[in-house]
Amino acid sequence: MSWLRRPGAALPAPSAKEEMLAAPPAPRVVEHVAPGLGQAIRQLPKPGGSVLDLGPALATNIAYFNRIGARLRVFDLEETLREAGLWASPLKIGPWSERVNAALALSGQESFDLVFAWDFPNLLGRERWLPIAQAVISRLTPHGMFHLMVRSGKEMPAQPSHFRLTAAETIREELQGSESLTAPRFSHAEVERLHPGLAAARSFLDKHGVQEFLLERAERLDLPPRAVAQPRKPRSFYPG
Amino acid sequence: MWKRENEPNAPTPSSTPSSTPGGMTSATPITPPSAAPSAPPRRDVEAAPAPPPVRASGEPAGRAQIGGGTIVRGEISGEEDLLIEGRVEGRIDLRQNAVTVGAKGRLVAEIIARIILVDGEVDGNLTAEEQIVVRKSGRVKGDLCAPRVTIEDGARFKGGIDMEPKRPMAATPSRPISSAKSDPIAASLAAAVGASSSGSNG
Repeated sequence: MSWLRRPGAALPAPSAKEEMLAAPPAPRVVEHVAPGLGQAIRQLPKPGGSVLDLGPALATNIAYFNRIGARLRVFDLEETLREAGLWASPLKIGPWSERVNAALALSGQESFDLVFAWDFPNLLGRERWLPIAQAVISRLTPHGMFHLMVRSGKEMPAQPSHFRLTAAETIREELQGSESLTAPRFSHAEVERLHPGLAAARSFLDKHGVQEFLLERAERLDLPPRAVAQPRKPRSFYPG
Repeated sequence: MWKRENEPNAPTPSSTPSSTPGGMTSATPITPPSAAPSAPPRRDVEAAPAPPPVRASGEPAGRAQIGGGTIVRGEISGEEDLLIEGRVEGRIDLRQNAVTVGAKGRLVAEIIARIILVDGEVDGNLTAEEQIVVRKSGRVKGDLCAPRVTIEDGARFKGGIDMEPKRPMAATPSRPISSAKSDPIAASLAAAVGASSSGSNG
């Protein structure tokens, strides 16, 4: 009926359906129960606890840490590795480790009470995650904690999710794409081996197949540290 | 039901803070001054340019601008708001004013200001007495220090965030500047940007 509209008349507001069709698809959202997060926040020194977030800067998380009086450093590991050409790098662990350490050079001698690594171990795999974990663990305070969201299912999203801290023990995951990859399915012991010197203070497997880990220094938990993970040797197809 | 298309949900250069003769600051209205209250609102109405901010002395407070083709190396200081669309390398010290890095602005500089808005790229530490806002098109690599920090989703940020409340003037220039009178502009600005930011976060 646009031919009936007087020239110069205001256009009608778009309908809700039109707006919905024009908007980009909303990310799929999954709510995770995260008792380890609650424990980490309780143990975080207040005020002034220092937090390192390896994910991207999200307004929700910045506001969350502001409320609890924590100092936050956002690292955006994905962006850092992409800028350095390392995100999809098939390099061997030696050179990759050197380049990662250069890219990871965190400012100053800052140390952290709590590190959020989200699902990066899944996405990067054991060989590429280990040097990153070692670099970050070297910046942990003696009572520092390391928080992870490890997928236990066969598949995982191909892109890093956005994790938002929405409540004391709730993490909202926003999946960023529909593609999926085969998940490495780290066992509990392997998660500890990938984080030298740390042991699981708490882990919780939720109904979405994501296992939350809160790691702390093994000596603080009176646990013997596990051996550092080694790169796997390719298996021979022929026995013997 | 009707909403102007140009109704701001975030601070714009035309809504920079202005001081009234009484020393208090107030939001610069952006509604068209000619629009009568009884006239039906139209979606295609263009907002009239806001009147220039007025300082406590009664003089109009201008806003300097560094255009897209300009490169500045060194230190910038003064008592005017500043919009940067060009390149700046060095240091910007406008403690009593707002600094806006436009979408085309590229800075390798430390910024000290009352309010800092970033739409472009900044490589350097930002310190604001009132608030720092990094919009979704903004990219910041450096530490942010302000009582209120807003980073919209989609913005690229890498660095530390120190949101300690206002404190007395610190000795080092990289710390927040002295607590000044509360600013309704900054509050409304923060509310507008905070609303858009929190809205996008769900």
